Amino acid sequence: MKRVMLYVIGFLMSTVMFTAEWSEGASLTPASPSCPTCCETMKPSSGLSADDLMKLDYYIKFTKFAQDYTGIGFIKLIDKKGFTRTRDWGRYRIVLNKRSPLFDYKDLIVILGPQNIKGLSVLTWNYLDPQKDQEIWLWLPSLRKVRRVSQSEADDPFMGSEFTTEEMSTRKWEDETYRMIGEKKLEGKISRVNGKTYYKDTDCYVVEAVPKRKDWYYSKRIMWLDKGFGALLFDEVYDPAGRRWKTFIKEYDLWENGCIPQMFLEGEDQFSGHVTSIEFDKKDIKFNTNLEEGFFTEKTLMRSKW
Amino acid sequence: MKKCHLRCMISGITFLFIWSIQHPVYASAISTDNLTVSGFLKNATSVNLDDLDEFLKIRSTAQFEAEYRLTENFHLFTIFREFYDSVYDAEDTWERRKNRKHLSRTKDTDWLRECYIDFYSQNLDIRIGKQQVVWGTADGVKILDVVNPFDMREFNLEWTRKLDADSRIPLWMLKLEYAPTVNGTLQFLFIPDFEPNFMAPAYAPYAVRAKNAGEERLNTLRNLGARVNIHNKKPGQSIENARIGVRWLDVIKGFEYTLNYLHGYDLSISRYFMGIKPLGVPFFPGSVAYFEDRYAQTELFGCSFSKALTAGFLRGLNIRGEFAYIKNHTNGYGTKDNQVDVGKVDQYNYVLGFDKYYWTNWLFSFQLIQYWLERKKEHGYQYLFGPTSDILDQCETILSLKVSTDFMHERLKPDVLIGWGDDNDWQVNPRIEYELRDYLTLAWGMHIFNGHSSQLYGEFNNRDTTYLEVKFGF
Repeated sequence: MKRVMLYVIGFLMSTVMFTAEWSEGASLTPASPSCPTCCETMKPSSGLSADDLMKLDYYIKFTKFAQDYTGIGFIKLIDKKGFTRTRDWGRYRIVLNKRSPLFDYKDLIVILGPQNIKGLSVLTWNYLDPQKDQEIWLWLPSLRKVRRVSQSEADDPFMGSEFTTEEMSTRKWEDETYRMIGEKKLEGKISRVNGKTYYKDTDCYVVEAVPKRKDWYYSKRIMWLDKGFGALLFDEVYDPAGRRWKTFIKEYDLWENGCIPQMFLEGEDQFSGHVTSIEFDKKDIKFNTNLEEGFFTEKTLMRSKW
Repeated sequence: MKKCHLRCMISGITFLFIWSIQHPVYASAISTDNLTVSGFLKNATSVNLDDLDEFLKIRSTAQFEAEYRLTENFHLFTIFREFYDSVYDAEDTWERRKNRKHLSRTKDTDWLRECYIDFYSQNLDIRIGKQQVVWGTADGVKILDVVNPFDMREFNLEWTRKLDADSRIPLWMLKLEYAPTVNGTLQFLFIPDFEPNFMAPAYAPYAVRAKNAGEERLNTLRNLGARVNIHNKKPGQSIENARIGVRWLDVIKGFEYTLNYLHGYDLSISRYFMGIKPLGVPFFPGSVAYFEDRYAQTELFGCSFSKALTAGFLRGLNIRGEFAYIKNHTNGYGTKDNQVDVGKVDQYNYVLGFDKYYWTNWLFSFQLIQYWLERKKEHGYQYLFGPTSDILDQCETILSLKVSTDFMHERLKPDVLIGWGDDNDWQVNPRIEYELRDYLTLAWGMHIFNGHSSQLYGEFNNRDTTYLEVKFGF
């Protein structure tokens, strides 16, 4: 009897210990920043569900680890014959989800070149309520006027790129259902733009995402998320017929202060051969510079000279 | 002479075209930490579709833009622009020779298009200098967008080509933007500079019917022996004559609204007949017919709103509108083609717009525009429609529909703007833009008019046009 009691107690104790350890490891609570310009840190651990892993990915994608973000991006649009067009943009973001009962974040993109679209600016306000669309304002240089616009269809290519509007800004965690496929090593992906091999033999979680919306422009995504810090490294998008349609490579920089900026994005259309890359220069990326919410208003759009 | 200019123009465009394709490396703005210089060279050529031998425009434009950032908060900005329209050399008619000095190139100091200093702070932005300020949300019509005058040498065609900024005439002014709340902004304008709207002179390609008819009446007086004296009572540039504008803008729960007020001289000219001296008849030797061009003091009270529906049944629909009440607006009255005098009549104008995307990236934009007069008659006469001298209804309605999309990863952008007037006249403006290189764009389009010659669009019935634009940016 004593042996049985010890066995039961031992079993219960080990169960409690295991559960406690799992709970601690699987927690998605971010660690507070250790300095004024540092970012919150949140890392995946074994036991995290596919849902939680994807929450972590959105947290990194929209720089929710920081109060605000500033960066300059260089876009290349390359067709299958190699003909290249470029766009430069400045991007500003303020994360409000811990400060506002209404807004998740606000975002401002300003096109810096080429001349024919220079000055074009897009201001978006993103609500915490996943049922609500974004509020969007455009500064149109040829009219010199601010124009309110409704959110375009989410499958519209963003600035003519492989990235849809949904992929760049409007897709929310609630828009898909997630299923853990397993843990695998990524065999390495070669960029068509710079020839570099990304993520060879990197340990990843593999998650499948299926859109909740019926008859949507893609049927599923297979996502490769880094086991070390949880961000999406490689994304495969399948068309409604189930064929592999687009692939995306995403490169990040892990800063000592905890910030994780995106440094390089590449999207390739497997059917048309068209490629889009977005590259960020490290020296132009800044976090926690005390951007004010008042900066993300029409007043800032009207400062535009072009 | 005519052939020589045409050859030069065509050679110039061809050279620019080939050179820019061959030398894309030169096509970049000069930029340092504090200074950015950019600009463009552009040629726009249009032909009358009703008479393919007739060019309506062969305009070459050079623009240079420079921004110098003195500090983070102080910026200097300037735009220099010069153009030359060689259609007045190519088309050798009397009217065009006469109009050459008004229309063929930038007049006076207009080559200095914009020049201002910006000061930015968290709650207060100040812009001092020659600039343009835009109110309102409408496409292709001007209800609240009346702070700056417009160069309407091509009537409204530049608006249909989304070139409103190019057709606006910048003014020297002070603009303050004070933000007492996160989203609320109070704008104050002090505008000592004054320029009226520039309308194409008589017999120019897009001269309005009333302008041509007025010139004909003046010519009749001249033929009868009278001298014509037109005194332009343009307000002087002084503090007393300054226009004052105030606008409050706020966004509450996604509903954006503005309240607008503008006090000052109207941008349209009213011509008054003062009499023929000494005896009131034109054929008496030494007779002079006196006219005065006057500018009415008006008060504008307006508002605008926009709301994007982000949830629910109408999700994705953007609703916008603007309204203007113009007190002391002046308008000619009389019988058709015969203005008797000018009267003061308040005006109520508004536009309601609805925008929505369908099929991924097809934007449909519909507008209802109405212009209401406080009353229809003055001293037993009816009010006249300024551009055509036709009888003006108490309410004039215009409907417009714009459809736009893009193909080839946004390289090819077609759109069409259709305007319909309630007298069953209409205007169709298809346009296609193609981005050949980062810095080289081509645009082709047409302006098709239909309706009676006394109606808004019908008056240009014989001015259907097709055009080609080549723009090289740097």
